[in-house]
Parts: sequence; structure tokens; C-alpha cells
Amino acid sequence: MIDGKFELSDIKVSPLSKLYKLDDFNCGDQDLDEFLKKDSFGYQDNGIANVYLVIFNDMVIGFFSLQNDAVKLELEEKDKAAIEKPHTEYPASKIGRLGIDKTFQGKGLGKLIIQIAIGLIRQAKKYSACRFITVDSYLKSVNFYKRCEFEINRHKEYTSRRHYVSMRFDLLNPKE
Amino acid sequence: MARPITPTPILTGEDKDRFLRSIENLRYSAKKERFLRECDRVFESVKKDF
Repeated sequence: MIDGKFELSDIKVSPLSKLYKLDDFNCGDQDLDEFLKKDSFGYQDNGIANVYLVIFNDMVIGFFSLQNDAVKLELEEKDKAAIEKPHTEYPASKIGRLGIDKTFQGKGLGKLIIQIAIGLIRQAKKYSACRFITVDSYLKSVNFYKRCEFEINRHKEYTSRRHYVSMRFDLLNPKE
Repeated sequence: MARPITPTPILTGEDKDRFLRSIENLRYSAKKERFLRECDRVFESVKKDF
């Protein structure tokens, strides 16, 4: 660590495994803790989501999950006339859950995890197309995701009173 | 059981129009390119553990 911030060399990333103890993990959010400790193996074993653990000194200090998703559109006749080849679905990968142990929050780990997830998805999309990365962000984390180039996926259910905000990251960056 | 992970909501009406405009008008961003390269570098350095 440098200046209290994690360096890449400090951590390793492992697919979910019973080799690591999950009982002590506490990110301060009961729902996220419960997902990791009770639900994650079910999600992984049933092919719903892949879960990855972030390890520091053999301790699980963070995790994230990835699964297929899509940005779907309800097209109208005018769209079909205006756009040459309209698509109704854009393939996406969803960061379904992301948690960092309380002791290790505020040390740059969140950004590293997002970068790992984006790098992983960019590799995978060489073989199976993917246009967006999606996430349901807590309200308090929206600015964090914006700093990571995500934008709000506004939809009719979106209001400032909701606890979660749908966001997307466009993997395309057309050349100049 | 934790709250289920749900699919991204379907975009309709104005939301869908806004989305279509944003992908139609997508332009190259040097800042985003740097960020993507950094993501590749970060992933490359941890992928040996996968």
C-alpha cells in the first residue's frame, strides 16, 4: 500500500472458493454480506452469476459478481423508420454485487475492482459480443460510478426516491 | 436470502429516445481510452490468479 491506498501487487483475485473464509466479511451492508455468505455459491453453482473474491493476506476483503444482462428497448414504428437497422437488445454484462469489507473501504479498492471487471469483460467480449456493463448502484455510489465513466440508465421507474439507480458503461469508444 | 439481482429495466418512450440519441452520437474520448487501457493493464496483472 502507498499512502493508505491499495496497489495492484497487494491483492489477488480468485473465483469464489470454499478455500477462503467468508464468515468474518462485513461490508456494513446486510444485504451484500448475506449475498456473499449465503447466496453466492447457489448463484455460481446454478450458472446465474460468477462471483470473484478479492484477497489480501489470505483474507477476503472484497467481492464482485458478473452475469449476462441486456439493455432492452421497446421500439415504436417511428424508430424503425428513423433507424436503418434498429436493435431491440444490446448485450451487457452486469456487475450484480460489489462489496468491500468495512476495514478496507476508502483505500481505492472499489476503483480497482471496477477496473478488473471492465478488463475481464473486455477480454470476454472478444469471443462473445457485449456492448454495455450495467450496475444497480446505491444512491450514495452514483458519483463513484460516474467517475468510472458510467452514466445513469434513465427509465420510467427511475426516481430520486429509489434506493438503486440503474447505470451503464458503454464499452464502445469509436476511433477518431 | 439477499435481494435478488434483477435484469436492467426495459427502456421505453423518452428514455428509449435518449438512449438511441446517446449511442447515435457516441464520439471517441481520449479520457475513456486511457481508462480502458488502464482496465486492461489492471486485469492483465491479476488474471494469473483466475
